Amino acid sequence: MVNTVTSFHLCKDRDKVLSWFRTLCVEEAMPCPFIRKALTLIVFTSLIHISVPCIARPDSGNPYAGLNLFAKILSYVEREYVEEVPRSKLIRGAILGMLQSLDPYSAYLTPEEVRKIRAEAAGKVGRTGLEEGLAKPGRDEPVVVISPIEDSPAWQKGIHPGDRLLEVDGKATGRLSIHKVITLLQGEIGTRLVLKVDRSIWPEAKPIEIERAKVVLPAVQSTLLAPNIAYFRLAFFRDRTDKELSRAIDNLQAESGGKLDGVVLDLRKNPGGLVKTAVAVADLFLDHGLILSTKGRRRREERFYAHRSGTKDSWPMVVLIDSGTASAAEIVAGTLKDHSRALIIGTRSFGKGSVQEIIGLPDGSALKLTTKTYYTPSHVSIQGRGITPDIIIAPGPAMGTPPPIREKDLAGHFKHDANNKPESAGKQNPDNGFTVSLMAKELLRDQQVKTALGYLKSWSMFKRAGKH
Amino acid sequence: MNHRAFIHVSLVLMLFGGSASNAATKAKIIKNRGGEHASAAWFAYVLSAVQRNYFKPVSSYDLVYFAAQNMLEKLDPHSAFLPPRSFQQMRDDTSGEFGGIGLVVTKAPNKPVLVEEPIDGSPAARAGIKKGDKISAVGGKSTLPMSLDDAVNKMKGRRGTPVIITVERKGWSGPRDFHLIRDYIRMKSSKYRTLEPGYGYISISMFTEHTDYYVKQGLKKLLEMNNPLKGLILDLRGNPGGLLDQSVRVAELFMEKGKVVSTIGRGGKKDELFAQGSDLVPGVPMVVLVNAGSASAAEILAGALQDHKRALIVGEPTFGKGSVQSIIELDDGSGLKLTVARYYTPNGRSIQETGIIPDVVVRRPVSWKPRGDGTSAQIENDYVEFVGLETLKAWSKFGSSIHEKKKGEKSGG
Repeated sequence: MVNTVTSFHLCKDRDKVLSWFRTLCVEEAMPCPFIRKALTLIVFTSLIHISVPCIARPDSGNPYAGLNLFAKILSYVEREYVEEVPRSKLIRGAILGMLQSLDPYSAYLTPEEVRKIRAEAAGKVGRTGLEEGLAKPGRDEPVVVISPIEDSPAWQKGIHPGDRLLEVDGKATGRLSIHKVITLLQGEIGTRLVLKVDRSIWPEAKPIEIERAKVVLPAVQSTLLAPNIAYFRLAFFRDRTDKELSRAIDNLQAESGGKLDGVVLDLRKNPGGLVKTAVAVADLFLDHGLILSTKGRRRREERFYAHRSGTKDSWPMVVLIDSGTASAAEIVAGTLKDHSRALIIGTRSFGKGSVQEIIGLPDGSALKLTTKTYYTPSHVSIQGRGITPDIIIAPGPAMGTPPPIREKDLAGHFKHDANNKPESAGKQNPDNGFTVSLMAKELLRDQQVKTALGYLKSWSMFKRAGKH
Repeated sequence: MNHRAFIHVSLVLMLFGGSASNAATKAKIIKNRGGEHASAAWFAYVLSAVQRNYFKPVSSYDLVYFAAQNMLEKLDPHSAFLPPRSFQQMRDDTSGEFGGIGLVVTKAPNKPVLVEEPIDGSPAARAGIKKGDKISAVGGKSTLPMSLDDAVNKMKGRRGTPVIITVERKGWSGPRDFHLIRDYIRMKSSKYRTLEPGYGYISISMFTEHTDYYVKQGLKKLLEMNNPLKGLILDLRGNPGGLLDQSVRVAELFMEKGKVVSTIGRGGKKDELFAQGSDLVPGVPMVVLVNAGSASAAEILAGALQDHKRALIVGEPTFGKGSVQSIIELDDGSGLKLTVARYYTPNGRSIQETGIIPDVVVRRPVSWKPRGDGTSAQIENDYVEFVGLETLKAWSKFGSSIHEKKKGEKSGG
């Protein structure tokens, strides 16, 4: 699953829903579960507005004509099938089929799956690190890894973006929904599972054993790539990611003497997350204008705007994207591109322009349903197309030799002592006293990051040259 | 608002046969059958939740199609829900009759459609289309990028409608357009030929609506051409089955009155199907060729002829599909293929999974080379047919009166 982008509802009309439902088939009112999941932050609601029939496009006047057909099919199967099949099995098969054929992200979650999601929210679930970055290219095709989470068990075993997970513990993923695959991947911490992984350059698929662990996911990583040029990597968009990013920016800005000459925002392999966080992140870099609009059936178009308060300085900015940049991450990249706020560098993004919501049902099961599509300010749907970078740079190692590691790179090295220098050139030489972190050094081995840095440096140089 | 909600509730209840005035009773019945998941109303509830919340309008038919497909697929490999288009396709396949121009064709990727055979009397045959012709376009559209199915679907259509095909033939200066009017096309599901003087061959590719007719015609022709008919090969290899009734109609061309198959359906309901005719080739030794591609109705026929000791079965074990499907057409043009019974050979054998085990198991050895000893060209190329024919010859050489004996047994029993 590309990380679900969810939004919020509260249980409205709950009593009406329950009484309607009770009349039909249950006698016990189920509690309306209201759960927050830490990572994807899903809000369960009971069915909303059920008492107001609002079918937009009736089928030949009768929205239930299809149901009539279903009732017939069901009765044939029940009467004529060679052996008696429990009706619950038939109905469940029907509901699963209905949801999984809609689109790759919609699914029916059984009460057990819902319970698992709750356990996960409580941090008790062992994970592989693949769960948040999976995609399904087609109905009967195996799931594909978009991006494993750094330092997770799957990452440590060398699973790459683009790898195809043919089997999980011997079960072929082609016939399974992404949701089912995720439930197979997760389990108790310390237990093991075997994945059959296929990579295009391998002659044949390989089995890879992985031990499930608690996967801790840092959302923001930051460093200075060069003097006054800051780098921020967002791994995904969870609840407070915008605030973490804001703090990280402030810290690096302070470290650079209060002035930044450029910022790299790395959204590569970012599978998305919460829409509201993506909007808040974009808001950090924009002081006015439309950030995002969403279109669904139930609610009219919703629009999100940028605000003046909290907007950071208007440094030159580069956003890095790749084919693993999806969903909420594409919102940020697309908006900053539309506003010409940032130069987009990298490769075309994944192209998931839809929002899923979890709709809790009274029996404890739930629907995960695509409820909205979203549009960047230029009113372009990202769905299927993705964001095309301004400058396309293929991923790969940087040209030229990487900078050698020197004494100053080592942890705990003696600091440069300015007093020992006969002349202090600090003001004239901006590099004076700057230490390239190991993280930055590693990053600069990458062609996309190196290109981004090059653009930002030349930008500030031209600006300076223009002043003469 | 409340009024509308009430209409909504009662509508759903009515659809599922419940009485709107007695909703509470209905709820209890549903619950007793195994909880809320066991009710069609639960399905209706989820469907309406999807319809109301999905980001774009989705018709209840589409949702029900998705639902029914998965529900039927989960039952067994032969049960299926077929949306209108697939259902029409299946009906064409089983009726052996459809609107078209009457060509048997093949196609390689990025090549034009190649005519294998024009069907006798069809519009294409009457217009002079020949085997080996290339169809480079249908209705002005190039066939090169099309799949075989797409190209065939373009040529098919309602009887009486026109279609233009562009044909290339060796020796022509350029492609020519043929204006054809589509007609009902009957696929011949059976072919016959004489292998060697006295030895006939009939193949059945599938059991469609008129298969018995074609087999009967073939038999009559073979009897005219070969006097006396010393042996007969019935080739069911690659025959995936078809209509159950047709396997019985074909069996009765080779059998005296007797049981062909029995089916056991829901709740042990037993049906027996009998051959009503009389053997058209009494006493003629017969070999039935089968392979792993022989399934269903083909297995029924082979099984019946084997159990009645009417034919020797030669080849590989068959597919092993021992179930019967019913085809149910629904109002909207979609349909169900539903497994309704298991079937058993006259001796009570189920062929589910095991298949029909041939009396003579033959696989063509890799080293086998056709022998040029005067047998016909086709048979030289086919080891299984060769073994079948040799078996028939040996049979008549032994001069056994197996058939006579069997007749005796039957009348005594």
